[in-house]
Amino acid sequence: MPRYDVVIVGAGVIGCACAYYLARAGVRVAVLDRNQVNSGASGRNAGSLHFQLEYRLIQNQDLLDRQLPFLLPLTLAGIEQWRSLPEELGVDIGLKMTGGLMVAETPKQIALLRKKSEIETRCGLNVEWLSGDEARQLQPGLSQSVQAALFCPDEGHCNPRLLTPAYARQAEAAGAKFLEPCEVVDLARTGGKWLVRCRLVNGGAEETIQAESVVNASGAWASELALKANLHLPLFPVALMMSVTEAAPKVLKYLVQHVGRKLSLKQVSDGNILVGGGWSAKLQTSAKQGAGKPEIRLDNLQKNLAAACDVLPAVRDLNLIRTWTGITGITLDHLPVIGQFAEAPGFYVAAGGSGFTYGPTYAKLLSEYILTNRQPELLKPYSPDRFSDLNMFMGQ
Amino acid sequence: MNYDVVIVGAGPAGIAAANILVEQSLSVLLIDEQARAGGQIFRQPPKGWTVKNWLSSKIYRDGINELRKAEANSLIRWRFRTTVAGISRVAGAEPAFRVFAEDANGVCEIESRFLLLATGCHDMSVSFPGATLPGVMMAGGIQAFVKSQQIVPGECFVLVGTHPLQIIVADQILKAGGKVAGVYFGQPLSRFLRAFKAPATLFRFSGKFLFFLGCICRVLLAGVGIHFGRTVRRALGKEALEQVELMRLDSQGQPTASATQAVAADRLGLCFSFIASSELARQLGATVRWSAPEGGFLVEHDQWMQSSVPGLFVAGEITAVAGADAAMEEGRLAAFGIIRKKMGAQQCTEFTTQIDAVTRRLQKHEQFSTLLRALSDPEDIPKTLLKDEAIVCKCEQVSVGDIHSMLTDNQFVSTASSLKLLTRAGMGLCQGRYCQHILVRLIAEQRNIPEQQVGPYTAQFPSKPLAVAKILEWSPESQ
Repeated sequence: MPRYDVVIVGAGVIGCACAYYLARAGVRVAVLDRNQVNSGASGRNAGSLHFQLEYRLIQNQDLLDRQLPFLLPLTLAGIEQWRSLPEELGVDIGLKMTGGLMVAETPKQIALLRKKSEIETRCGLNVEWLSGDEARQLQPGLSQSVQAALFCPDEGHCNPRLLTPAYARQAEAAGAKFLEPCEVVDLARTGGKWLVRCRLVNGGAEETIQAESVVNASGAWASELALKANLHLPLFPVALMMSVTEAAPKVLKYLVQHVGRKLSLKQVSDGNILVGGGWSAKLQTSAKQGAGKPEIRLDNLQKNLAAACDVLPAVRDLNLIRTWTGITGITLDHLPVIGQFAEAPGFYVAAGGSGFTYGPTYAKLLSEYILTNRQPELLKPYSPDRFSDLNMFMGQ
Repeated sequence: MNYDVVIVGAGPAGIAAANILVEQSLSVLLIDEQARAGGQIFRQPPKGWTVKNWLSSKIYRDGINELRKAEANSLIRWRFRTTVAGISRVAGAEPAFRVFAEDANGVCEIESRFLLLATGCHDMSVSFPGATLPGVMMAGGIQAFVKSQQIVPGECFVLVGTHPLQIIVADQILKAGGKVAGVYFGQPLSRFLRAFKAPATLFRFSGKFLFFLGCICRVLLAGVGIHFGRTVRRALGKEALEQVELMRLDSQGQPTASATQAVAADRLGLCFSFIASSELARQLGATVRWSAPEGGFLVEHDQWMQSSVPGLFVAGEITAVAGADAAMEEGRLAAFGIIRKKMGAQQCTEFTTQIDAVTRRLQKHEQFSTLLRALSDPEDIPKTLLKDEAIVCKCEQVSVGDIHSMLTDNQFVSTASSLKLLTRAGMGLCQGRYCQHILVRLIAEQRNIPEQQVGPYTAQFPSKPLAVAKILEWSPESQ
């Protein structure tokens, strides 16, 4: 029976980054996925690095109060890590941290942006208030409808096509093993060890792998995998749409987001403009086992493009070349769930909540947790312990 | 807009199906990107134009009769110059589809209870150094100009490939007043002579055979050389094609040590094989199977031409490239399949004789297409042409060398979709239509796994670039 220190399930950004940080520390790691490296949400999201406070936090005072003490250190850790990533991974990952704008078009949105700016300044996040004209001066091409914007110089974007494979290559170089595509059939803990029974996707042969610890990095399917270890993890799949235009002359220098509408805009080095912002696609009811591509909702695509054209009119003259979907996972409190289950020692999870922007940070912190067996301070609010009521009669 | 059946593709399969469906009072809409019906094979001159001796050979007679019958039938609805950008399924008891289509005026949504995809095929793109030079074309592209409008798109042509179609194209170029510097087949002449080992098939299809012999005679009489065991090595020229460098191949399709030869030409027509246009079916999640000689990823279907997606029928080249006659029979079979599904099997006994006849003819045509594939399969020649500097994805300028090194550096990548994400190959304006086939074969070879396991690129919406402005102007309510 193959034996590893850690088996990571899910070869997305969190899984591959975890594999890298652990293998680098001398841990014997295996990564398995039923699909390919980076084939899920990690490779399908729009690649925004957004560090400004999110809409839902500004709207929810209670959540904000609980989050603020943790959020800033996490944000700062994230920014610092991103800045060092190209050098650390030794390869171009399409990282542009030239700054991000969050725009407002109506008086109501301006008020919201103002409130956000105050909170952010109070807690030490680097943001700058811009009038509509100042925003247009900074980012030519923004529409006249933009009345104000908040600029955060640390924001930007990274190419989701490149980040996860770069981590995977470095993990492999450090000794991590990427297994043939296989799916987990069962997870059990006996004699203090985890037994991971898996089935090869091509051919169907079954194999059992032994590990000291298991990392559940299976994204939207984290709940399904947790159940295989007899644990409840209330994380729900959400299907989102992203779109890309044909290559256009260089117009966008910054990541552009909207405070009151679902919109993210950026231009990649090849010239294509990526349009996202969290518009939903329709999940297939048979979405189990990762099957069933979500269906594009044309009405939502239209709204997404309308928001894009309102803010950056040049988009209207371009051709859409592709709209695709990805499935992410969210928890009831919208916070990620990262840590070890008290009910199942050695079973770790990292899923949900801004998984691209914070993926590398979550992975690094979780690796520290596994290596030292001590919960890092920054991960405290995200522990799966907050669901322990659900697991009272569950566990290993 | 709501129809019993929407047919995508007004080629032989689509029109043959429509003719039967409207007879049974089903409402039918035929959608095609071209301005007139006929597909690639019966590509018509623009309305009001006449082309002297347009497809006058007897081998086209059945198809043209079918075409005229459909055009004269006022029950068939048509939408020309219309592209289907995407199709979605409507949840509910009945299998139903929503077709999102684009034309010059904008986009619209059409609902349909059944869908018949008869989207045909396109030329197989091959990569070799210089293949992106202006003047390098697909033989099918050249034919599209010559056949319907007698436009000769160039001065002097060289045709290179493995498919007999290149003789027909050469004949058409000559008839339209163009010059042909040579026709080069990669396979040895002995491959063609194998045809005589199937005299029964030759006899059965003597019409096609004689037509083809006629083309050969006219091409030879015009002083054009037809060569075997030779193919393109490089296309040369400063800003556009000036010379085609040819190399000799042995009987296994491998380059030999003998000297290369350069032929002056301003147009190179490539004619190796045809790739099934299965992307709309894949967008809907239909199961596909890989078969290189039959056209790459082909849509699987049952005996009634229904795909793995209930209500989605397929006919013609997207089920296996087999020519217009087979496509028409498949279209008819799909039509009976749809009628049977709509009315129930018991109500369809009156069609038994017709269905038996269709099945018999289909089997007969399959004999011919099997023989043709055996003679013309490029086998490994497209891979032989690949040099590291050759561009495999023209849209995103990804070279063969890029693909090789990406596969070497990323051992965990083994599917076409995954390689696409890593390299951008297939992410451009053509949506991967032209590079998918060769890229799948490259991955399969380097990873030593079957092409079926490599799989196609995920087919995304929209199938072809779509103006953002048109999407914004679309109002779902007004449909």
